[in-house]
Amino acid sequence: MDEGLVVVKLSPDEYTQTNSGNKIFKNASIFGSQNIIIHGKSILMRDCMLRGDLTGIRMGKFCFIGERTLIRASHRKFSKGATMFPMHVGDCVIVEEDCVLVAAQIGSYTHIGKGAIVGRSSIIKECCKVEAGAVIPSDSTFPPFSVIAGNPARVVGRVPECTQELISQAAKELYESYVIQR
Amino acid sequence: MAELLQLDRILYECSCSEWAPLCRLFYCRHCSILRCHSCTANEIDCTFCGTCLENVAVGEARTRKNRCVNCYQCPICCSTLSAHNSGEAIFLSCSTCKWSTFESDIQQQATAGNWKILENPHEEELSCVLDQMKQYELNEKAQRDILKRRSNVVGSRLTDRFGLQQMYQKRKQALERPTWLAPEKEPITVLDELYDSHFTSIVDLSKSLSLESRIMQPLSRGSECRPIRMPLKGRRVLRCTQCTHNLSKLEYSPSSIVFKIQYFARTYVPEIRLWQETKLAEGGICPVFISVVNESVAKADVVLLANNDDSSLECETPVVEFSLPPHDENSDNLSHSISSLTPEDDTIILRKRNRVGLKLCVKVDEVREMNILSLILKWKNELTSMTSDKGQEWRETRVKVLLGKS
Repeated sequence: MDEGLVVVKLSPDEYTQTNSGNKIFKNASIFGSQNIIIHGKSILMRDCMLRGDLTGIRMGKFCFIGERTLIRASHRKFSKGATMFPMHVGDCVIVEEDCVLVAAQIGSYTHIGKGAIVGRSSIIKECCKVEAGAVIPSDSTFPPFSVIAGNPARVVGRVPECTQELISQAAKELYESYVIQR
Repeated sequence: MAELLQLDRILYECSCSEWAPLCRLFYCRHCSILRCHSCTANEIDCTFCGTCLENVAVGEARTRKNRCVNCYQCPICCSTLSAHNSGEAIFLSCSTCKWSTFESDIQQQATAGNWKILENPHEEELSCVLDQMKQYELNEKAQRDILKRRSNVVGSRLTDRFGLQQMYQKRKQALERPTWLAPEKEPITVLDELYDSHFTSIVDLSKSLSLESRIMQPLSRGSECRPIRMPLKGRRVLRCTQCTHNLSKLEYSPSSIVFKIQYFARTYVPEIRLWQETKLAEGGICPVFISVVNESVAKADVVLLANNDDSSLECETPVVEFSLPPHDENSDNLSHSISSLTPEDDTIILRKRNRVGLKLCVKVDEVREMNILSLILKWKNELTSMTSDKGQEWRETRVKVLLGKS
């Protein structure tokens, strides 16, 4: 579908726009906001949850976080106890609804399908596509340009070479098409 | 959101008559034609491990049988195994299926890398045979060479001042038929009897490995498992088969997404996308909403023609002509600006920056499982050729729009 020509209206009673251009659901569960950095022009949809109280979450520009998606820091057990790892989300990352992201890094221009679960401390490099319903095992790494699917998820194909342009354009158009107005 | 992009629903015809979405195609500016993966020359640029993202040189990859020595895969579920410290030694375990090296015959070892893999019991014998065959190859090559050369045997008279004597002796040695050193095998005359119990005995599937994990480790012979070395991945460089110019080449690092050379079709050919989901009703004229985007940095003139000959739907809009402004990378003006909302005519409904929204009328006789609307796309863009005079020529390709069910 052409995102550039579709308009989705968000009610001003439910959504607010920050100075840096983020469009955020007012009642979204955002904990530890001092640890969350969103670089701007991102959208946080209804009922999404950001757990910044555990450790830092850093998100780039033009990210789209779908409804009921949970983003939280990952941890790892060492011999002297557990350590929490901060989470890095790159620019132009599109996350659809009902996802759980407990990754260490999600590279730029990545598209995560509906209901996907990204396991503890996993690293998804740039320009990847996670298919809907994929369950990514913890501590796994995926190289750029991979299509990831299945449970446990593995690389099942390659995305087109021009994914960077495709996803950055789609993310910018999504940001444009979600308008806060009555 | 479920229908983000939907790139597979608009197919373009490549110069080799294959159909592919525009994002999977390339455009060779030297030959001015579309190219797909199957009509380009593919070569492996670099081999790397997908887990540690380390570059492995081609020769090294060959000696390691295309496997990474530091990363291991679970033999049951293919997930990455992670190393854990159990106090004195290190063991590997899978976080998904909870398999660990304690279930194998190695259990744990002092270092995290270099886990022993299953080896072929006939390895020594096979390598011996391979060496022998290589000697035969050298011998045959030397015999072929001697027929080509007009040789007058002067070797015995050569002094070893320039090392020629040594060369002569080596060549002479190669000409001698090597003796077979590998152990010879006796042919089997009596085969073991095939008992009925092979077919009637009850197999406990819970104890045997799945087909997939047996394929992953063909030397395991049924039950024993060991960590599997991660297979390496290759990265491709694409080249036009006609003019041998590169069409796509990434930077050296395996984790890089920056292209050194890129000729994506998207940046030279106007892109057609579905704008709204079409509802087809039998026996009537239905509107199909599509949009055309110009991703090129030059202005594009576009003509869309109906191609009713090989289409399952009849397009009632015979021809649409329009021109699209160039794509401006630097315009971060993200206001929701639609430059003209008032329809120019019945077909061109709106214009927004470098795209137009079109409404095509389609006559539906019969709604099938997959309804295909065929179009001919003609475009003129000064960047489509390396030479400026050819850039003014019209290019043409066929396009299929898959409209799905009603």
